Amino acid sequence: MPDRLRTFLLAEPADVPARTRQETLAEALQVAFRTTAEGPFRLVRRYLDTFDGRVEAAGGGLFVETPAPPHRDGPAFILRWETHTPPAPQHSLPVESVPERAGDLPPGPFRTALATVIAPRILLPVFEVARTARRLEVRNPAGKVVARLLIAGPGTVRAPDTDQTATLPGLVWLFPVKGYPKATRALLRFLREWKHLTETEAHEFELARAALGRPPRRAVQPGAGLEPGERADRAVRRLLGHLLDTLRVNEPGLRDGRDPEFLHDYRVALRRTRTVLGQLKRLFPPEALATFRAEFKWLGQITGSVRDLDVYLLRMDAYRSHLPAPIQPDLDPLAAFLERRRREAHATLVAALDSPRYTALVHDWRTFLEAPVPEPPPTPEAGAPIRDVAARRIWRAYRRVLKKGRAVTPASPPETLHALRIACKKLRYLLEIFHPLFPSKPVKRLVRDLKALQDVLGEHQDFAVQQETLQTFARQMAAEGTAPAETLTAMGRLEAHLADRQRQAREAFAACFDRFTRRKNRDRFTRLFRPAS
Amino acid sequence: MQLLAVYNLKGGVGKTATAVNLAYLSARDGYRTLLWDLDPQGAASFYFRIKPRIDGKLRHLIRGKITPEALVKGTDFERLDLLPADFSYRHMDLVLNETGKPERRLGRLLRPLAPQYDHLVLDCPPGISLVSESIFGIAGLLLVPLLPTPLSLRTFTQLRQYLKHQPFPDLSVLAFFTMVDRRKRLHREVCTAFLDRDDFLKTTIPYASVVERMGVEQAPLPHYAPRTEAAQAYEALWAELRGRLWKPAGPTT
Repeated sequence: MPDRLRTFLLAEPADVPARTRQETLAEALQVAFRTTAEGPFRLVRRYLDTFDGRVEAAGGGLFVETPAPPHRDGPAFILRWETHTPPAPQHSLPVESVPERAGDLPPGPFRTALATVIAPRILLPVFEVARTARRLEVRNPAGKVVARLLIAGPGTVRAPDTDQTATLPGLVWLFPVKGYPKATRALLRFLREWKHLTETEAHEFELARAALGRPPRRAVQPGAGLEPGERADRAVRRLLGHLLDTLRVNEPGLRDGRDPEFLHDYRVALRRTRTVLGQLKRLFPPEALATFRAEFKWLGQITGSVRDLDVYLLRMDAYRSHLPAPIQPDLDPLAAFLERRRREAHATLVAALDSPRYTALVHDWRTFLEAPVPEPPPTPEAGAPIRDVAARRIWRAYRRVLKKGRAVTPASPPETLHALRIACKKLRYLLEIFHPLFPSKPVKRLVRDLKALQDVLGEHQDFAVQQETLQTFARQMAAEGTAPAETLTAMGRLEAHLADRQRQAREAFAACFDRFTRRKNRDRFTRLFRPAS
Repeated sequence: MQLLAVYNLKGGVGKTATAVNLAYLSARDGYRTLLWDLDPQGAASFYFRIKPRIDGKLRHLIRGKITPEALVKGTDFERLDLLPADFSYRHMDLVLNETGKPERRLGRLLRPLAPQYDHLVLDCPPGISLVSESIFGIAGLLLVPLLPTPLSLRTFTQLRQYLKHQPFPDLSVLAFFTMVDRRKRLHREVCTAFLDRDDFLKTTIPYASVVERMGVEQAPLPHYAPRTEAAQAYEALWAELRGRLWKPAGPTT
């Protein structure tokens, strides 16, 4: 692939001499090649990523830079997405402001590619890198540009959240121009022979992260650091402590309220906490357990109302696409209604987070989790190795799924499927939380098939709920007087479509359940989790 | 990928200048753009200082022995690439004719480029030939530059008549006036008369020597003379087209 971007590290001695190495290199290139040079100018790049590092995980770096040298009529920024590995996206786009969502970009492939990676999260500034740079354009005898180089001196990287700074080595980028491989090769040869340059596959983004000594942004895996032989109640308390950390980490994002994913992650940690408390009752003293379960249930309700509205707002695009183009705008009043309701629900949630009740819950929960475990263990199960306890619990949850699933017939009412869905959820959380205690591959396979089954059940339930909710919304909007007739008509058509989709999910159920309970998976469950008795 | 073909029955109406300037503006606005020079004169390639070396490759290209990507050259401008032409393109009709289903051939060739570009601008050879018919079959928009004279308008009528009897359902046709000399009464009258027709764009491109300088500067007009009236006219033309090229966005997530 001759067209890919190449990067070289440029070593500069610490005490800056009269003539820097970037100057020497730029001059040597101008002697060896026909070039036009611009600079030196200040090059500032603001790197963007989501809270959980989705851009980095997809490979490469996404940044805005001020066009250099700036020109009067030019755009305010250039947004770039650079990778070293084609055919990953190499996009650039002039923008007037730093984008927060994919939807801030004009429709087109950049927006689509970005949405696939980050939606529904928002982009946050991660680092800012400032350097002095020169741009060289290498031309052929006809005056045509055949390659571009950017030579940048040592830089400073700053993290906007902590104001922490670090220095970065100089860098040289070679941007090949399509269709001129000879020039690219000649320049590569030249740069590889230059003694202060080393080629690197790292992106500036990774260098900046390393210079600040930060780990890659990854969501914390639940159950990390579980020891199979550890006493069950101690292990589970530590695990619940991790989940509490996840709750706390996402709180600022919940308050801010722009990025729905913080709330989503918060609720996943919350549901896992509640599943552990419900499924592993015997590890805890009953009176403490009852209080905490009630309090977490309250949190579930408070966050649930905002999450539901978030989900409906995220679905609006899909809803519009289910309707014929001319009547799509008829749904706008519904979107406005949802926005209003969400603002109210969000205010309620922030008030709850600021309430003494919440502060007390977090404090008491932390104290409870960090207290030494009672000696001797209050119950035999509390003193048993965590691995055995987890296996027993997973086995029981699995048997329950089998029993409920096998009872489903084509004539079963939706409630039966809903009960099965709840059982699947519990099994899924247990599998995910205790995943590190068991061989990774078979558990991954089981979770995959279970997830497919849950998706079908979830859709079935979801489409039913959505129809009811839309009717409720319609009634509330009518009462407010914010529902034009055409909006109600459009919502009615949407309901018909959702009823269709619900039927489809119902028809797909049997196949998914058969797949999940096929011989191979049953053997896996038996091998991994069946009690030895 | 959206296909915009710049076409006129007769030559010499500023067709290539239009294709080059619009492709440049499209790339400047962030769209990954490919300009395909299909004119044997290779004027578009010349404007970008690109020396085509296609000679024997035309046959291979049309027959699918080499992909168009192998011939693509990057221009001096970000996001703007060019598929160059040389004098061998005068045989394209013959070469197309040697293949099965010649009218579908060009469309097949372009398929692998679709994921890499947002806009494909075609600088078409004049006249009605197998090449132009193939283009009518795949283009989404046919852009026709016209001189504001009766004779030039007649060619447009002929083109519309011809297309009426052809099966190109997805093709929309838009004309606009170029080389407009405001001092000539005839020009003024013709422009006014066609202002409200829905197959005509509102923008007119003035006659200006700065446009002719494109051959000397070997660069797109909005790049070397952005403040001139002619460059502003191309900007307005592009702004009029841009809205038509992007269909309303569907769901983005």
